[in-house]
Amino acid sequence: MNDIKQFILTILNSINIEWNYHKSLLLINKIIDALILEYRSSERLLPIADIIEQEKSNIIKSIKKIINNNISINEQYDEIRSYIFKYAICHFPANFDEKQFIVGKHKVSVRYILEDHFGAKPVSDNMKEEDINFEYEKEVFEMIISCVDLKKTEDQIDFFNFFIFEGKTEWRPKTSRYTAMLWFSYLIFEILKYDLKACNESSNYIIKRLKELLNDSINGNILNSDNDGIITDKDGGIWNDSLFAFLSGCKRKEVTKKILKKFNFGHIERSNRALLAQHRDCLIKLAKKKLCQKIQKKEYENE
Amino acid sequence: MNDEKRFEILSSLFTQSIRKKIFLGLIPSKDVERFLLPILHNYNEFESKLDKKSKKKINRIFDIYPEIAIKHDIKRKLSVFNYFKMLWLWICVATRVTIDHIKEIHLSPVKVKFAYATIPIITILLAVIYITQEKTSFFSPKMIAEEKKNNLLSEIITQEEASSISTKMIANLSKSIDISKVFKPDSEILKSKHYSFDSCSNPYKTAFNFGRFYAGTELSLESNNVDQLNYYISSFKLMVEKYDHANEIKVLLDNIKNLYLKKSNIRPDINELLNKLKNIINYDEIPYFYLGEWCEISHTLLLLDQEISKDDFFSSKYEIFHVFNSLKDKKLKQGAKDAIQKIKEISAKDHLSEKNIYYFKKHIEQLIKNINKDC
Repeated sequence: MNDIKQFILTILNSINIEWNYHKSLLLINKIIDALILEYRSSERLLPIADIIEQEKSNIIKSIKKIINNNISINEQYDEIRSYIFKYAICHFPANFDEKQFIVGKHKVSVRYILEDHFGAKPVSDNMKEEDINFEYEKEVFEMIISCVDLKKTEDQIDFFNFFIFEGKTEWRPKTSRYTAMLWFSYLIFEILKYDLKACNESSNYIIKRLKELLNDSINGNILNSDNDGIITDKDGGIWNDSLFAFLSGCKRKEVTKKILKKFNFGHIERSNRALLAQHRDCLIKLAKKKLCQKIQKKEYENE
Repeated sequence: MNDEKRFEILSSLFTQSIRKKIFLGLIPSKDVERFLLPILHNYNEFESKLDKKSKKKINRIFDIYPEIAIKHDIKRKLSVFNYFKMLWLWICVATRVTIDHIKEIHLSPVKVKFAYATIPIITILLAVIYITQEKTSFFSPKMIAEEKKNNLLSEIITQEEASSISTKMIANLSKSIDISKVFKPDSEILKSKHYSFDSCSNPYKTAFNFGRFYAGTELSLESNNVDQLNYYISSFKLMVEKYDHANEIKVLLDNIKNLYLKKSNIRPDINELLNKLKNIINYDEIPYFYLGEWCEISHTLLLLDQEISKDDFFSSKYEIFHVFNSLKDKKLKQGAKDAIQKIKEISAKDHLSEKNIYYFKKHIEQLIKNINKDC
């Protein structure tokens, strides 16, 4: 009887090993299928989807060889995803220009992207929407994730509607807050970048500076060079390349006013639609943490 | 463009960029996990409030980043079609494994027929036991073993990449015997190993001989056998000559040899050699590599005047039969196929008698010769 029990347990164990192996293959299959569907949704990336589909079995075979057990599980999967893309690129016919398939190849300043899109028609033909790769995108994304309060399911749905689902059917007040968080993050980055004192100052200083700069943008005081070449730009012209200079144009006066309103410094705006003090403090704290070290390192290298 | 739109354009472009990168799998898993974290602890409640389109999107993220779903134990519902597809696959796997195990035990033809006839019932019973035991989440991609840290990918590595049959065999042998005493230098053994190599080669023959030389190198290091080590290393060098990474492998082999000859406390790392070899062997030929490893260790053991037991050759029984079975549909000469069949028959015997050992050795040699004869 014991022998039969042992025999059944051995078989079960072997089935378990074999089944887990099949599950891991199904998992990789699923990743590939999902990526094919996504690549298919973009006309530009369609050839990549075709190659992955054709080469699916070879990709799976070679994935087994690249799995590196010495790195974390997350990194192993990251390697698999990037390998699938690289595999497709490497297997294009020789006459294909693979560069056109590189997603988000240029990191572009937010000012440049906005200049390109503020008009009715994008100024630059080279910058298709698929190419957009914001400077400090990762940092800003992380800051927003860390600073929003998503305990309630409704808030979570709002947040994911904003970032992932493109849910436009129902107007959600908090969408305005998230947009304000984006503007706030990028404007704080501009202050930290151009005002060399800012990294060593308190949050109050940065908020004071932000209010002042936004008001100057509204009043057109950022760029003041006259035709005689006498520069009277704000702070000797340090803001000329910044987002504040972009917002100081007379056509952008109303948008700048709206941004200032959404930052809600006077706590006037309905709380759901604008920033609260806790959001502002959190974003400034994280922006300093993420950017100041980089700036100081750069200065040190320049010296 | 009105002011409202101008205010929103930043978020519209930013979210579009983030969305694109998430769905193309370009954002690191850790960042996506951080992003999803707020919904992971109450995922069911969150998902129940989503519309169909949003559900589809969030599920797509988990399809692309399954490690997050596994880590946070997100149970994803299967459609009826997929449920039955998975059930069917499980039954196929279970049936095949059960048949393999039945083949391994020695039964009379009547009993074998009876066993085959009852396999469907056994499989269904196993399915019931398997599900009710709840040792594993049956259909969701969650691992049972805690030590594997929920990493299903390790299954692929365990089964396909990292396992070395010779390492396991040597480890098993060292439990019962002192390997350093057993494998003393013996010129007769070396002579008998010089199977003739002709100029023609094919990928599976190469993989097979790589496996043999790898196992031989490992065995020589374990048994402190300098002559044998020199033989295997020089054979290796000859074989790798035509490959792109020949120099790398040669340097590695020299390092192994030098480190060994220095008699330092640092043990030569033979795993690096294993990884390099597996990189140049085609995926399809890997079973031949394993077969080569098994043949070399088994043959060396059979050449020695040693008391041997069946366990010395078939201790990790399932693995070697897995290798034999994976060769079933592959190109092999009839002679090699016959030899494998005879080896399997001997493995079914309870004990290895002297006669069995004689034939066992003969069949292994026949297998080695037949594979090396093939062009």
